[in-house]
Amino acid sequence: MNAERRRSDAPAPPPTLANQIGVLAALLVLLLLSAGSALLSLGVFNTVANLGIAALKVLLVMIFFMRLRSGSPLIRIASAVGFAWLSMLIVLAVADLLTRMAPHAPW
Amino acid sequence: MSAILPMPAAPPAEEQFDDAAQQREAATFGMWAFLATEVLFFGVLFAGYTVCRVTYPAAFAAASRSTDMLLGTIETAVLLTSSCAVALALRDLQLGGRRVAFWLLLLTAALGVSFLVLHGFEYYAEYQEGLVPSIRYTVVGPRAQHMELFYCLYYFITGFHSLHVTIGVAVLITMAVRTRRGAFSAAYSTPVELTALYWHLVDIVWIFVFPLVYLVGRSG
Repeated sequence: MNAERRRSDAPAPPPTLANQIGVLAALLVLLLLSAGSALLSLGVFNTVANLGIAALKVLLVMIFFMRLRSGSPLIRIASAVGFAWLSMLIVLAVADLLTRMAPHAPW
Repeated sequence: MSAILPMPAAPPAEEQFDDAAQQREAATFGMWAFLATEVLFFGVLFAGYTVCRVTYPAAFAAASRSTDMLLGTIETAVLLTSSCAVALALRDLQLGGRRVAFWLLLLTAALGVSFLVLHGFEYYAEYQEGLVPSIRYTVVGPRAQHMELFYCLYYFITGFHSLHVTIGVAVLITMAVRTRRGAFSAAYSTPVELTALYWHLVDIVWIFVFPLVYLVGRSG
């Protein structure tokens, strides 16, 4: 059944030098963008921008440095589960915190 | 050039595996499973941070402003560069190189050490300013108690992160020595690959630490 399954004795060919240096340059530009945007008065969008840029940087690291681009589906799932459980933890904790009300006395 | 030279063969697969490819897949999968537990380990600290920051936004902004943004930015750049260096080391090994990979692994370890030194300067300055809860804490005012929460989380998150960096540096140096001794080749570089994955995770944790610790309340 798995005769067509992609498997070879060697892992997928390594990425090119230009690819890796390009990713580093993008990461450093995003770092400066992140630090620069923090100095602007954007209200709640300061946090949104900072976390958005951080997420983008993490994606770049995972896809290109950690080679998820050429990784097997199993590895891609394994890479996502930790973040999936973590987001559930944070979303539920904050949802609880923001919706708490002082309980009414039942009498 | 490396295509012309005969490649050293990979060590034979352990008996529980069908072949070397399956063994490599299992090793990589195991490392990713470990990294997921690491994400949750740091994640609990980040969840605690989120709850405290939502509850005391002004105190967290005030405390974050007291951190050293320039040093934090430099430290981030150092870690990002080290991630690229270890990725290039693995690439070189897989292309049949050894000398460049050795130096790149050492460079990665050196960048890790410089990160630790920079962070040491930061800790020292914070100690001098009296920003270390229950050891030397001199902040006064209505927000002082809530700011203490920020500093506690800051020391726990960055402390555990620095511990990870230290372990990473030790493993990187080991890998560099093994690379120089010819333990790895284009056909077999799994230990270096797993070390690189671990090091990238250390980088990923810091990518989130940077905006949450250093960039809050900087405008205005």
